[in-house]
Amino acid sequence: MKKSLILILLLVTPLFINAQNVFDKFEDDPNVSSVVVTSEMFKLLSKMDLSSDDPEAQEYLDLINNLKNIKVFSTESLDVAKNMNEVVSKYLANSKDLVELMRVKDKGQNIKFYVKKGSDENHVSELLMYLTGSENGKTEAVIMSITGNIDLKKISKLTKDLNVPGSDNLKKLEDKKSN
Amino acid sequence: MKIYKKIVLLFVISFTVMSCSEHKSLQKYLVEKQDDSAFVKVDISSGVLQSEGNTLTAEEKEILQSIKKINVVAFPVKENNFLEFEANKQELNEILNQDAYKTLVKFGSNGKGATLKYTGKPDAIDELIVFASDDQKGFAIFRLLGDNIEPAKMIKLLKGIEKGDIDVSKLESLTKIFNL
Repeated sequence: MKKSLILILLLVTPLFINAQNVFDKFEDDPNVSSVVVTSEMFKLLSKMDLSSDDPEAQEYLDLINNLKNIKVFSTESLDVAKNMNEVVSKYLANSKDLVELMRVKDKGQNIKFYVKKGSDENHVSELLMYLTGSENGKTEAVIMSITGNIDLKKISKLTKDLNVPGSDNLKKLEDKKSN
Repeated sequence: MKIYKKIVLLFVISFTVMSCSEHKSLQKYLVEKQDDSAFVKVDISSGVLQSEGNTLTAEEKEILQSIKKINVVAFPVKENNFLEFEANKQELNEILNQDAYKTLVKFGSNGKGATLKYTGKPDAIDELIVFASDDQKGFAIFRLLGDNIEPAKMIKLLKGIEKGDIDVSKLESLTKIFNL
């Protein structure tokens, strides 16, 4: 019995090595708008040796060079939103080191931020934002996942540029920390 | 002894399962569609891109030479060819999902989408691919083919476009295919 179990494991394991991130399945859903920037992109960017005289732009480049993945999935479909809720709850239950950073309830929107501890108190290795609610009568659900060495003070600038709904709330975090 | 045989056999099976999807390359697919009238094709060699009287330095010319050609293949959606469009799109997605085609950026929304991919190494790119598709208009594959293109140097070249040393007007005709 044991032997056959091992055999089955041997057969199945290679199939899971290529297993994707839990959120990736939303990529191909026609009811989901998605933006994915992969670690390959950041690897390439770091090779490009970009530098700028503008300190603000340089700060931005430093931030980007330390990122690994950015994924944003948003939907206006109720069914997909339900599905997203399930996936996020499951993901949170399975990753114990992901802790809630803050919760915002604003104009009918619920936004939750979760982080995984990083190199120091200003840096996190994963940032997950989950937004639900409705704006202008449209129901919405948004998942944003960023991994890498993320500077919490600066990330709001990037998410704002990516037009992620709810990301302005990250700015609050920045203000709070600097006070 | 018997059990070892089984293990070996299972290994073989699992490897076959893993590798059977990694057969076709994008190049092969495009060669197959060479004579298909549903496709629109444009090939531009990098030599054409140098505008007349350019002030490119020797170094910049060398960078430009690491690019061999620009190859664009498009499939415009017309009446009655939607099924064919879907089938081709599916096939391309399968090809581009292979590990050799590394995804850089991906966008998608309401039946529209674009993916930026490349093959090669981060400091020596062989092929830069943009696969854009729109269920209403069709899809297009834009390929930049080269030999160890170095991203760091590409940035310098992009500055050449700003100066007008590289003539991108040749590429503008492409937008007409899609009535953009």
